[in-house]
Amino acid sequence: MKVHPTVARLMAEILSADGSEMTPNFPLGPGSGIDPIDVAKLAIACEETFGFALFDEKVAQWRVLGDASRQIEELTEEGQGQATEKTEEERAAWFYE
Amino acid sequence: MEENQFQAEKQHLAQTIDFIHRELARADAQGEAQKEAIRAVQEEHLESSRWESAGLHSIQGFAEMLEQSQEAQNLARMESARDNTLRMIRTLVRMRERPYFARIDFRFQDGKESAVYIGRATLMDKATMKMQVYDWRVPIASVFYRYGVGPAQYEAPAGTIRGELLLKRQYEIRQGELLYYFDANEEVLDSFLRDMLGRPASSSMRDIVETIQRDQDRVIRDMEAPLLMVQGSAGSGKTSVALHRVAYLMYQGLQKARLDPSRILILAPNATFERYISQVLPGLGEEQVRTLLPEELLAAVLPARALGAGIQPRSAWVERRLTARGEEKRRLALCRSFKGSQGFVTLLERFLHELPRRWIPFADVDYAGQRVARAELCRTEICQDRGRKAPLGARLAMLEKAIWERVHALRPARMEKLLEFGRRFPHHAQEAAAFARMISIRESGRLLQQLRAFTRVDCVALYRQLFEDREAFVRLSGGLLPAQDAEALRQATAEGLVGDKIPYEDAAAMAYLQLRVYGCRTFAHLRQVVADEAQDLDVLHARLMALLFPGARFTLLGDVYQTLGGSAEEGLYERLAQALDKGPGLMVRLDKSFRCTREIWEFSRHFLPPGAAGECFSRSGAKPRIHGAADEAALADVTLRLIQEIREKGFQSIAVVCKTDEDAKKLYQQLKGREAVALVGPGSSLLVPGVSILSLYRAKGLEFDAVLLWGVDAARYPQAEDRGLLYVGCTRALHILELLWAGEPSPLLPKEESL
Repeated sequence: MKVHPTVARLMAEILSADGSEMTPNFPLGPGSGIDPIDVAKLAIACEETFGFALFDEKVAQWRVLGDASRQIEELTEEGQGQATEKTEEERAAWFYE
Repeated sequence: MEENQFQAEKQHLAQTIDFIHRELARADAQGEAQKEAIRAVQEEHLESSRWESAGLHSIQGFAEMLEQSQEAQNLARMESARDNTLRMIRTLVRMRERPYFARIDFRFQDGKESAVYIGRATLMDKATMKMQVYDWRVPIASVFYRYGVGPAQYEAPAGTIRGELLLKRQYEIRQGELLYYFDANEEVLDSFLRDMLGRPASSSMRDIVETIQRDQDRVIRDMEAPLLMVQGSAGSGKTSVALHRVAYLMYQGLQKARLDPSRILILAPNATFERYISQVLPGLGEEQVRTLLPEELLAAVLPARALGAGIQPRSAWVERRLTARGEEKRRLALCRSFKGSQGFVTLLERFLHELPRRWIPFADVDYAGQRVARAELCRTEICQDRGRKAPLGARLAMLEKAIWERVHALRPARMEKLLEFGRRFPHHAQEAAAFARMISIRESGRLLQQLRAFTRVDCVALYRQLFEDREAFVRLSGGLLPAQDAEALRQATAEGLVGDKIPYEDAAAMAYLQLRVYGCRTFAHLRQVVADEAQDLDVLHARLMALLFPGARFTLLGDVYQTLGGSAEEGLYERLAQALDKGPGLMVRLDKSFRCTREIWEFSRHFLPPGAAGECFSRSGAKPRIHGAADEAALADVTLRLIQEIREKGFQSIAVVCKTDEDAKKLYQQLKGREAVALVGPGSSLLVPGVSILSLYRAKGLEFDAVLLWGVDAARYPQAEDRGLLYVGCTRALHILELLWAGEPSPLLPKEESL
């Protein structure tokens, strides 16, 4: 999954954790010990980073970090968003237009 | 055989083998060069991909990614070319020992004459465009199989080519040396065939390219019929024909570039059979044709989570029916009889019609204080269908999608409310957005569960509910079977469904429901399906095949007299043709048996209904014998003595065939300390040379030099419907057949004196 490194970085930032732990099998869902508010933060961060909206009913089905990466990858393939992450510069440019 | 001609043929053979050696050297060199080129590109590719991966997520990186993907495609092309070279090398190595097995001299209508050498693959000199050897499947080669000397014709892409067959010659070539040849007329051919058939059996089936009979050839080469049904008596070469047909279809497909190996499927009845036939196609130069067992087919349709401990193997299902007694036997027979009939399919169709009307729990659904789904409206919408003929599962998915669209429209307002709510709590103020989002996610999760309760159909669970609901079952089975039978069937099925494995016959029904509700595209690409042992297919299985393989042509091969645990049904093929819905189909009978000696063939006819068709390719051997003993311990001694006798006569493959797996296991325990024997279980291979102990079920489709049909006593084979089992058992033997009973002989045995 091409987008996974980015998703992993975002999750690591939210959890203040080591990026190397953020594998596709990193548990997210109920019973994983991850605070649901952190999952919500991940959803928001992904939307800001990749530039498209995520449906909450899909986010509710995330059980591992890989589920998030796969969903985002599918959305990019469907052309609902851009294929790559915006750089800081590009995001800033949009804001100032 | 004139000396001059013999020398000429030897010279021709030497030239052909020289050609093969040259081609092999060339191909080897080509293969090496390709290997080196691939290695070089791989190294370069690896280097550049290491370089680029750092910048993969930038726009510039995208362009580089594209370039890499082109390199990857180039690499794939090179690897494919190398695979072709390797395949060619394998073919050449095979052909080096026996480049061809036949020759025909054909005079075309314009007077031109051609000598056509026929082998297992085509060999062409690319420099001169001269054909050295023709593949047995090319149109002109069919003349060899179908005609004697005289007027002949064959179908080519350009049309019918007529001419005259001047010479038909067959060769015996071993390890590159011409031993002899003969010019074929009927008598000589028969003797050649007899010689081939007289050879000992091996642990796996061999190909029959050299001895395909006219009728068999017709089946092999048919390209027209969307449904070809072959009623082949035991030993008619039916399975060989099936496999050669697959080889032929693949060859045709490759010529026309429309059918590659992945578009053909062989349905094998059991794993031992699958192993047994596994060498034929590679021997014919064809690989990669998928085979599937019935349980595997069903497991591919049913959702993984519903499978639990899995599906009962067909062998276990047959075993249970064969070992059952008294009331259990009666109930199993009732289940088998109804579930194998059109009535069962009708019941399932009625159930499907009722699903949205009575079984799916549509419910009102609210979101953000608004009703986004009304139960009755949803039900009406789904039941209406509006002639679009979309499967139920698709219609429910569309309904779910429409409901979510309504939810999404309401979401922004909902999020506003949740954000406002979040801001009210000081400790959440910093994270109000995340807090609101968290609640929305939780709500959506619950909403999803509510919706899925009626937009997802669990066919496995519903099938169980059907048999637990007495009233519903009575309603749906009305007119299909007598009321008391319906109740007995319902109870028996409900009890069977409680176990950890899904009973085989019920798995088929669940798969049917699943297919009708959701469809399945997994096998939609298949163009040819070849199913052996078709006598064991029910109407339900045929319907399943019609749904799973909508684009395929079918070849069904079977023998109505080899139905295990049931009586012969001549109407079988008509029913299957109707269920497959491919038109009336073409029916071919292969009534000539080649396997057994005349004596064994005549003996086995005793177990067929009077007037059953069939003839035997005559080959003489020892008469079958019947042996009795007071009890099973004494019978074990008789068995061992007979095995010894058979060995002394030089026969390699010996089978002791029992009625059931249970009997086979017990006998194995008795004999293993006293003789080298192997017990054949699921997926195991036969012991050749050696003695294999196996059940009738596992012996179907196989053949052995000698068969000891064990336990033919009154307890095991008491009634008329067991005749089919004995017929199957007897017809497994090539040269020697012995029948053994303990206690009291089966009333079905002919009155022969026993030793």
